[in-house]
Amino acid sequence: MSPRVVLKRFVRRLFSRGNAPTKPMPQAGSEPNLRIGTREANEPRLVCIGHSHTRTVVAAARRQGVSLAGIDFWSTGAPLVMDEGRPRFRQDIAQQLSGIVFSMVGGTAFNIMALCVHPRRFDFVLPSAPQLPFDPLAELVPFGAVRSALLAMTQDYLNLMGYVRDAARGPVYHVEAPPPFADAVRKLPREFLPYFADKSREISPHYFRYKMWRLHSEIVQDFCARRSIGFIPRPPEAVDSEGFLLPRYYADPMHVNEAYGALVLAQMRRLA
Amino acid sequence: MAEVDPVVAWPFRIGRRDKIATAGSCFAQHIARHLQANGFSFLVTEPAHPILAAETAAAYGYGQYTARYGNIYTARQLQQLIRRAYGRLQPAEDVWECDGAYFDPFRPAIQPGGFPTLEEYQRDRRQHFAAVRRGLETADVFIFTLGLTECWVARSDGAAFPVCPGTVAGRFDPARHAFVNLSVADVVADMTQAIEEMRSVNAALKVILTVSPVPLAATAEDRHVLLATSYSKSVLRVAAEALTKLPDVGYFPAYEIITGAFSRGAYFADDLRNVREAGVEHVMRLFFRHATDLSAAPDTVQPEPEDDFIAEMTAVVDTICEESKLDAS
Repeated sequence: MSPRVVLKRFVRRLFSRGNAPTKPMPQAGSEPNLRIGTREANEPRLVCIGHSHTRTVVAAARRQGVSLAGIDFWSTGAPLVMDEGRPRFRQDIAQQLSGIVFSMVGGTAFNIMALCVHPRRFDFVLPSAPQLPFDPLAELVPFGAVRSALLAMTQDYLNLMGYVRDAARGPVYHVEAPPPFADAVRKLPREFLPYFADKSREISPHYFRYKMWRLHSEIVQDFCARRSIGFIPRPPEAVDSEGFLLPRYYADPMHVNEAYGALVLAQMRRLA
Repeated sequence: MAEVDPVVAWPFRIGRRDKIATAGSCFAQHIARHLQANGFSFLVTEPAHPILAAETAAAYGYGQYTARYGNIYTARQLQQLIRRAYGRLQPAEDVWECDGAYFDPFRPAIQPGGFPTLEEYQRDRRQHFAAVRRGLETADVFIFTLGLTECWVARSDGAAFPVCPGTVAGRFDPARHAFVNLSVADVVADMTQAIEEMRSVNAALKVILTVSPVPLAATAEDRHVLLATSYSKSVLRVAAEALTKLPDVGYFPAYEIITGAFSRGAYFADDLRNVREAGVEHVMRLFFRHATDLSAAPDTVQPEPEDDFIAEMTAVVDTICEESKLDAS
């Protein structure tokens, strides 16, 4: 199946069939969209909108009693409707996008290509860090071609970020996806193995995952610069000297835990 | 006019399981395309990675020829490529740096914007040469389309470039670069050397030569492009004829089929240079009739299992994301 077909499936998930919201927005404080904590009158409203990475920040905010509206696209139902041929957010979601909006849209596309070793093992040279190790067992794929492939897989998420920017009434920041972990011994959890047709699938070398994550961040950062969206890099204290995620922030092969969410929440509050 | 058939005697037949390598000027791309479409084994030793969309692969020069060498317009360029692939020639002018990017002087348009780093350039060249060697060593048939006699070379060591330095990339320097218009003797010598080099690693290799019917768009000679075209095609045609005296070397008359007066120029597109599909089909119909053995059924091409990787990983990533929701709640 080509990346384009996969993306078309993703796009179908984004859109409602009709123009009416498919799901009413839940009340504050209830799943799937959360408004938690209490906000002082002089505190700006914080909104965190995106995919699975939003959950760690929401969890951290809940624990600390910080007021934060969380919108997780995995729980909203199709968030977009077509309005005179142009996509826009459902009214109930658009209404939430006031105050300071933090996008955690996407952030996992690079894992589709990078998490496991491709049957035709490949690697690339990252122009911003050409000194990074190259997998000695891999064939070279030109950087520009890899970038095109990853951009195609990321494009729908970038579009979604653009809709966030269009709908938000205040500043918008995008939070960089968490970096990969360095531990090459750490394997995919056993419960994910049934999803692999090839049970011998091995996890990719850590430098390959790191390069793909950096390329993903560069693509997202370029987009943010063009659309006047601020870019919040990963918390510096969460990574080791080479830029890999420290083990204490690991949750699963693609996600970080609440402790990492607390670091991101602190970054958000410093910007508020 | 589709009935005109100038092929009288053909020296050997290609079977469907014979691995066919191609190289040459752009007309050779048509041959490769039709071989694939008709179930012949077009040998590709440097294929695009399956993560690339078709348009990206094409932009990066994959799939046009057996390896990713781009158009090879002259016999000199071909024999030098073979020697470079086996480490027997190391041109002094081996990389062009322009505006922070690196270009291969011998395939300057192989990827958009050149190579972003010297590291990628060097790794890609090693990989490319390995693919060239695999192609030469495993092919049963090598089809080469002779395209031009005019070329630009390095004064220092005679390394032949596919285009004039400074046009696609690089910078023209009259102290370092010279124009050469190859003679019949030059083309015969270059092509003979290329065939000898190839057969030194693959003794049974059969060679098919064609001459590109595409006329020159411009010339570096001080004469009209019509005369330059006439000279160039004449040299290539005579050289090809001379080369058929070598064992297992055939000349297929694509040039005559496209340019013959019988077609009244109908096989040329509106730009009077490119060849219409009807002309290519005429050539390939006769090619299959005379140069191939169609008795064996075409092999059924099985899709590579790696094509499912992206779909499978998307499902896995989605699953992990949903699992993380349960963990968070």
